[in-house]
Amino acid sequence: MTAPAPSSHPAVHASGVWKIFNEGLPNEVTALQDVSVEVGEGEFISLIGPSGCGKSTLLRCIADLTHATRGEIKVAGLSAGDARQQQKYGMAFQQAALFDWRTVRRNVELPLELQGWDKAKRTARAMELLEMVQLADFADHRPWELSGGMQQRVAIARSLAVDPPLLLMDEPFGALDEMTRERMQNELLRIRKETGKSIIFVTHSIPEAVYLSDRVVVMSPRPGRITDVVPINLGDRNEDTREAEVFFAGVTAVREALRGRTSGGGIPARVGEV
Amino acid sequence: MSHRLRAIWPPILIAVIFLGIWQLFVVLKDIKPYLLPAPSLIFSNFFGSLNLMLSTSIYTATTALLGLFFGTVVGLLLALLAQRFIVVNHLFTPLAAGLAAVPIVALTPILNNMFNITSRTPRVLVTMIIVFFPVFVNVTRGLVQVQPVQLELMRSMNAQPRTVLRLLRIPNAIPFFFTAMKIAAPLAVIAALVSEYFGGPQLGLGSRIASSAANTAYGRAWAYVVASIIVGLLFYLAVLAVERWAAPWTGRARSA
Amino acid sequence: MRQIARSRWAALTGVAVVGALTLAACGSSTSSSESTSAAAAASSAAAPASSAAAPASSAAAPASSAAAAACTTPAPVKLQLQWFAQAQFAGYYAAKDKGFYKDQCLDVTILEGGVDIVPQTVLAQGGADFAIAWVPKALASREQGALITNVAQVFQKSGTLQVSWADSNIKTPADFKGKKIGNWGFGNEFEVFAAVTKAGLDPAADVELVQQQFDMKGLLSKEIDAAEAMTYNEYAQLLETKNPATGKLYQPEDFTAISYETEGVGMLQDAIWANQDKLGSDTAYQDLTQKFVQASLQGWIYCRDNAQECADIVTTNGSKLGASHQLWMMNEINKLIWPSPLGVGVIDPAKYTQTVTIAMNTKNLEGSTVITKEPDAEAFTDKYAVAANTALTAAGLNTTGDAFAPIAVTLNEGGN
Repeated sequence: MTAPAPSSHPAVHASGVWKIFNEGLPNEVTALQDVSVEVGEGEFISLIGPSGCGKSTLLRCIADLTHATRGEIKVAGLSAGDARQQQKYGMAFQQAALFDWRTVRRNVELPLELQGWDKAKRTARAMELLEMVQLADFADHRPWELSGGMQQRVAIARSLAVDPPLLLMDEPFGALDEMTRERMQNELLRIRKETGKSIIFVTHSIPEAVYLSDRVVVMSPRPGRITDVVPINLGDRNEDTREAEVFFAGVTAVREALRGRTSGGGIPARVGEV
Repeated sequence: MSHRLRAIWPPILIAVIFLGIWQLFVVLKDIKPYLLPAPSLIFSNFFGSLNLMLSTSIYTATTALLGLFFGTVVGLLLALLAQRFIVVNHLFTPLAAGLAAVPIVALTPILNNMFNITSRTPRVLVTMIIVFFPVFVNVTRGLVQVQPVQLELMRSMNAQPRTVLRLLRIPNAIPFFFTAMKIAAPLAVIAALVSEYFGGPQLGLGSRIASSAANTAYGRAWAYVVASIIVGLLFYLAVLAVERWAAPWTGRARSA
Repeated sequence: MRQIARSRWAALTGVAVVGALTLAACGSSTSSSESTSAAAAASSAAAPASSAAAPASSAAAPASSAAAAACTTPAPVKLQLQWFAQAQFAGYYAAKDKGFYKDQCLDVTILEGGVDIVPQTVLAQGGADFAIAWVPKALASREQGALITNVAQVFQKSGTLQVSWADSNIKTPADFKGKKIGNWGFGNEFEVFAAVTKAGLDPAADVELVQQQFDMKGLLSKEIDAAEAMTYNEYAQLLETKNPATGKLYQPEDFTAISYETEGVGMLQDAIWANQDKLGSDTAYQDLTQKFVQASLQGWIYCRDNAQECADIVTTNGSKLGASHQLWMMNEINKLIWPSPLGVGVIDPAKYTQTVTIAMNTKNLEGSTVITKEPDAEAFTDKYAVAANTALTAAGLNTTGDAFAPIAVTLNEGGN
């Protein structure tokens, strides 16, 4: 899978997005206030912020799992609803959410089944994906026989099944231990390099956000909004990246941004960013 | 010695000890059979009329099986409706609970009067009613209680409600179904048996237990009780066996 | 580790077995005497008075004789009936109501029976001093170790019928072949089996046996071809039901009733049973039995001559049956008791032999018989009944009922 040909629209375009729960009622909550962000093709951006900052809500609006109260969202040039129906994204959650009653391979085949692929094609594609995440040997195993990290790899393989241009990931490594986490991060970057997909990645972890992303979108709560966007320039990641000067600078920049101080220097914000 | 055999011998040992104490008690205290028969008397009655034990067991087991089958079918159909239409759920759950609270001893004479007492129908109906409740409640729960993340996953894959039902809810409900069956199967045997106390053909275990007890032949009555325990156990073990084949993932630590 | 766990198991087992043996050995094997010590004290005070306390006549109110004045504390007596209060037990209710028990210095509590109550077991375990039970079932209990003795055979004839619609043409047990024959199960089926076997049929193969509920709905709805019924109860239920075709009550002509007594397979029914052990050794209990039997038989004599009054007495004592049904029952019960050529309550040896023969030889669906061996000599005694007859005759009462004639009873719908 090579990088997709450049197209005329960004991978994701969100502008003036509001999400208000219980509008008009005493327990009204503004989860998202006038959020605008744009994700370029092939870009990896992270959404980071404390609880209640709206990062997961924003992701779900983009995924059409919930509807924005106000504002516009476009995914691959389509409305969020159309994008979902046309399977323009794959999604991974903090829980792998594999089906216990299916083998690993059949779990990966799930999106293909829903798209009506025939059996032979499904199996071939599933094996291809399992190869990519290096779990081909476990194709006939059951989910409970795999470790947490392995289950997440299967989930990621599943999210790639229909080869969508965009991946939406909601803290997928949150439940894993640190070592597994770092391994998974490298895996994800490798897959991204091979496939050239755009990725929106929600996380709680500053090092993770910095390590993975091209840009880190910093959000804060009450009401949920974007407060800063920190560009990251680590180049090709290797073993030494996590100990490099520029990595720590990025981590510091994000941390400062989270604390409410603006990121020092760096590439100016793009169009549409707050 | 396999793992399974090693797990079985403690309960068997306890059973043997229990029977031994019972036998000693009856013999040493000279307890008369009309009060409490000795295990030796019960077993001699049981093994002395094996054909009879078998034919009566088959009769009652057939009633239980019919009631179990139809009660399960009705329970499953209504569970599907209850998942789809929340109003059905709200309507039927208290109704089913109320019906389940009516004891077999009250239901049977009523059904005997409504339907032909000389046929199996009233007893099968009683069994159906008893079986329906656990099946309905558990399967409904299994269909409804899917993990929210799994529902989001399905939506993200653009799955229609019917597909969600077929690919997610129903497989999710299978362990719940077997939980229900583990309750319902022995209950069906009990219901079939007790409903035989109230009239109808006298070919089953229940009427024989009652008749033997009325004739003060408690050794024989208990022998029939042993047969009914065996039938109940067989039903339960059959459910376990089917569960192991159909749902090998039950009871495992759930995957993340 | 595993060695230790295993030896702990063995130790536990050993302790349990030893403990059980110790417990069993320490317990005494004979049961101690029950509550008759109080009764003994009371009746010994009244003993000199008892034999002279027979009342003057049956029609007049019992005179409180001079001897009764010696009764300071009446002996408490519990009588366990076989079913709910109804005219089937009128004699005992009358004996209580008319003071016959009181005259014998007895304070009798009548315990109603029910579906789950086995009177002979209650008696054997000391829950009652006397019980009413049918002879075959009581003999079965005796064989299983319940020590009871028949001290008065009140009913001389069996009241069991097999009733069918007249147009089914089931006139004899041989006609049961291929039909659905109802019976109550619960041990009441032996007369049916005896009749079927006597007619040369195989109960398991030639007849379809169905257990009825304790009503006649099965026959009325024609689900069964012939229903078991007592002359004094279920048969009347049929005649109290409205025939939808005519708008009037069903008539006897609408049915055929086969009587097992007439067919020669009747078994002895209601009798007074007493505790066998105490009859053997407890003189106070023997005395109690004599008094109880005598007063009870006196009650039955009263009910023979005063059927309506006795029916009313039973109703007053809590019977829920309608008035006409109660009177019918009283009348039919009288027909089962009277005449008693040997004297009321005295067992007819020929009938006893017939009952035992059927009980030993008739096999039911399981191939079992009521009893497997001949009951021993202590199964019954006519000593008390004979003595009671002597005393009652001496008091001027007729104890054989040779002049007895049943009355005509009109049933109303629902037995009211």
